[in-house]
Amino acid sequence: MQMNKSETQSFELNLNVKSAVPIFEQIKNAIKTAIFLKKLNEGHQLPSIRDLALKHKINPMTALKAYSLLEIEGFLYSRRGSGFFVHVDREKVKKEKQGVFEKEVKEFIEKINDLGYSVSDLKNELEKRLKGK
Amino acid sequence: MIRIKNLNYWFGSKRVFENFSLEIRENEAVLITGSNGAGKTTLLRLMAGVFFPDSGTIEYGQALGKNPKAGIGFISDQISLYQSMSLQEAIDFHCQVHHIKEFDAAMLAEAKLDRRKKIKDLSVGQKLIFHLSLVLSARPRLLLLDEVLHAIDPYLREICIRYVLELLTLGRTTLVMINLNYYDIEYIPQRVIILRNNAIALDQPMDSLKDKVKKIVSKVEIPGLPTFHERQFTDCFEYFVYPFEKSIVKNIDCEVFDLNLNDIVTAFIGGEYA
Repeated sequence: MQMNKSETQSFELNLNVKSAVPIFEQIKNAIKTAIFLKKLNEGHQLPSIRDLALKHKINPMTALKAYSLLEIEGFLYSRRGSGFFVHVDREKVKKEKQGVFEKEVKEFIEKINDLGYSVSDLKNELEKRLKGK
Repeated sequence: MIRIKNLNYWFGSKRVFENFSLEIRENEAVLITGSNGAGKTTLLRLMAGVFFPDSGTIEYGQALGKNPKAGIGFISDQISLYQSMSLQEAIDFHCQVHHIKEFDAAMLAEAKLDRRKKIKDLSVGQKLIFHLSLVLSARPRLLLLDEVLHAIDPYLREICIRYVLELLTLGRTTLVMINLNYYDIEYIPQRVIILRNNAIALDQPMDSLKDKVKKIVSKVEIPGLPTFHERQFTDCFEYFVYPFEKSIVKNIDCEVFDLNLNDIVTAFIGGEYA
């Protein structure tokens, strides 16, 4: 197992104050996204609860909640006294990425529907692009 | 941590609280807000044991033991420090009284406070920082913060917030804060209470607050919404709604907007003035 304690690259946390998505969810999503994008890899140590809380001015209990839930979901593991580390379960990542993909597509379709286009318009557009390639 | 039951409190001939009840759990971080005169500061002082209820009870949790006041840290705009003492003298005195073995000087160092200075020679902001450093060093189990942070510059304010969070990291402190500015404390409270006319108008977990309070904008009037504030413009109606459910706007031609804490509190207070 690869251990990258000194690695500085971490995850981007752009919290949205207006979002109805709770802060612990926003933190979870940011970490998952970083795992999907391979910005966080197996064994990568996450910022400590204290650092995350102080840096983003969030309640440390909220940070702990996010990490703990990700641990239960199998995206992180913890070591007593040394913090939380990334665990990449390929199957799980693949499955969740598929879920994100489907959700993005669904939202995209809703957007083009609002503009007055249908899924078959989208299909035609995609086929045009595929032929062009 | 605190259980307030059927509290009645008069300020002279004015009744401030009437049969007021509120429970705050251990290790919770609670934000209390509302308009000027809504009773926020009075409530905090009652919790701190500075004011006493005329009737009703305030009970403290087991974490505070037999002498609750010893475990309460209270930061208000009325700081009682010995003005003629130097900071070092005040620190020594404070540590002796509260049995603190080692005073954590990091906060004072960050704020560049010279410990040889006399307290009376400090600025308002420096006094607050100093007071907070004393209070935090005792690691209170219950920390009560009145809105005092507005009086200091953003850099010192950031230091204060960071050290409060540092205390919360230990997981042994219940926090009750009163705020009128939210831009930098939005992610700290787990629960938001809005007082209106000395009663609780809203009490929501932070995680669901932004789900439950929404702004609805429509070109035509929509009657029957659970509105707490509304505004009419030449081209549209704005409704601030609580509690919001998706079903209430089903089949209605309108747009639903998310709000931040500042929008929510402002609208609540606006409803009071309307």
